[in-house]
Amino acid sequence: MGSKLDKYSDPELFELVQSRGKLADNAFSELYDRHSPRVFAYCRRFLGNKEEAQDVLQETFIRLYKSSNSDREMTNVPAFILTIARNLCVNSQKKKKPLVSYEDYMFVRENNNDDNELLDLIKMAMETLPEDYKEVFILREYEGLSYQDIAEITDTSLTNVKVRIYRAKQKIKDILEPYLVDLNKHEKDE
Amino acid sequence: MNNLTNNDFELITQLLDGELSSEQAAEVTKMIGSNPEMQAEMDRLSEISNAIRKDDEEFVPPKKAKDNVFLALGIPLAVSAPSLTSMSSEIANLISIGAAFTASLLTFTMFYSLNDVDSNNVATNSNVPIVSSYEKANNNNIIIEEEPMDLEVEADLANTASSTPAISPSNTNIDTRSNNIMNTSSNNTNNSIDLASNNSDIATKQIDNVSINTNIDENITSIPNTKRELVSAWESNIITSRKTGLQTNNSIFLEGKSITTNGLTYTRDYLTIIRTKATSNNLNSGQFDVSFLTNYFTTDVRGIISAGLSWYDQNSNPDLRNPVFVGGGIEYTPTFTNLLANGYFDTFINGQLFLGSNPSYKMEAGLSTTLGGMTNFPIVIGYTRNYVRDYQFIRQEMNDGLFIGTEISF
Repeated sequence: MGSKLDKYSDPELFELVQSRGKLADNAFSELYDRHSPRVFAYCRRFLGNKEEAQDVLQETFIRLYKSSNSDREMTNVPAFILTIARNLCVNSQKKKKPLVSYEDYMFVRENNNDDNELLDLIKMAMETLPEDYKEVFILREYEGLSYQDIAEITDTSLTNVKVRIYRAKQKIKDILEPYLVDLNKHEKDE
Repeated sequence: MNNLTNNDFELITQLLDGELSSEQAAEVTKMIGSNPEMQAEMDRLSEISNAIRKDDEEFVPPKKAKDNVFLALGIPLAVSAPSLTSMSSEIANLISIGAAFTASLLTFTMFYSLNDVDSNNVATNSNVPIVSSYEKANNNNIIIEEEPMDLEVEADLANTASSTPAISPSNTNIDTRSNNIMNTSSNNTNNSIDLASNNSDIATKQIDNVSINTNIDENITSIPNTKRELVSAWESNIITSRKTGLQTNNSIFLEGKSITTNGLTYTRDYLTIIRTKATSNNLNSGQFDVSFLTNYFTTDVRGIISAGLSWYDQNSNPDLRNPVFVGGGIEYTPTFTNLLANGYFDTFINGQLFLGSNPSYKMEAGLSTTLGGMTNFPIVIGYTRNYVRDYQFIRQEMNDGLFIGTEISF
């Protein structure tokens, strides 16, 4: 856009959006460009469905924009966005259609080569987790958020987050245990 | 075999996640160093974390998502990247028509290749979102489907601007219409069923996070449940569905007209299909008894053989905020001066352009012969099939099979 908005911090961009000035739309566009991939990735991992992920992505940014109507002072834009996305994902999950799209299904299959076999197994194991474990696991492992951030985003206590993450990891590890043992054996043999 | 306690596991997890203070971390590292089991545990967890970190799988948001957001917020699309939504309607129309031509050809192919499927053996999948139609209903029903008014024309979309597009849960036109039908149908009183009753929607639910809720809840627009009333009448299915999209349509029977018959007002705003299936009740020595419809016909017989394929969004909760899915359909209809004669009276193409939301498609393919002409109520004898693309395959949801009745559609 030539407005050098990419140099602005997230809170500055949000302020611009709040101002509803002439740069507001471009500022919002910049925020979208900056955060939408991450939000989409999060939604996609959480929901496992491309269409739903897109719906939530769109709704997330619509709500972000509307939240700029208030005088809210925004200090952590990514966390705020992720919180909206997360809440929408949770709601979406509640009415989730039981079927997985053909595309999503094929997507997993096609990527199932040796190189990322472990990764695929992790993803499959992740799907077996209860939703509240799965979400903290994604936020921790994929988003790299601290326990404290996760607690805020999920509106749960820190202790609860610790327990959920620990249990999620345990469960995934238990599922993958035979594979990991095998893998280590092969590595040692080589 | 494994003598580690939960606390040990927890400490290892927190160490790997960088959640321990430096003193705690040093202590736990020391513990791990002296405990092979803890070491092995940490190795495995590390392996999992490392694998995830190497995950370079990219999830690129669809380009149209940005346009949808901007469109819903009334922000000029020029700020966003150009895409289909910024095309002129003419171009979109052309695309639709082009796609529709292909669809039309497909229709014939599908019709002839698949029409040996026994409708009784076709499983109806309850996971398919309930859409507009009669296929979810029992025989002998009138289905009135109400949908929000907002998704009307493209211009409206652009005008939604700063205000949230209010998807009104109640619509006086529709309500009036429902009442009309309720009042004029003689056998309906005890059969009113709300098919969408279990459609309670996320959008109306509270978001868990209080801090976010306090700021954004006011902006949550509720998406009303689609209300359907099932009314028993005739030996037919009447499907009335409010149009939810933009259509270009050469309406042959209802061009600009409003017809009132038997208490039902047909307008261009509604998709109305009246069909009667061939059942043992209306089969009479191999002939269909259409006496119940005779009031509506004149003797002018003009044959139309049409085949078409409609491909459209079947989401029952159109959401203006996520509006962009363009579907198309076409019906190729050579019109004969008389049935089975090769004298073309007219040939026309009924192109449709739909604007919807979630890409869940319904295809309806069929072949029908229409007798009628003078009246606005033709007799339709036809054969249709419905194919629904849900989340796995394009598949046949239900075989309508042979039907006879009258059909009006816009």
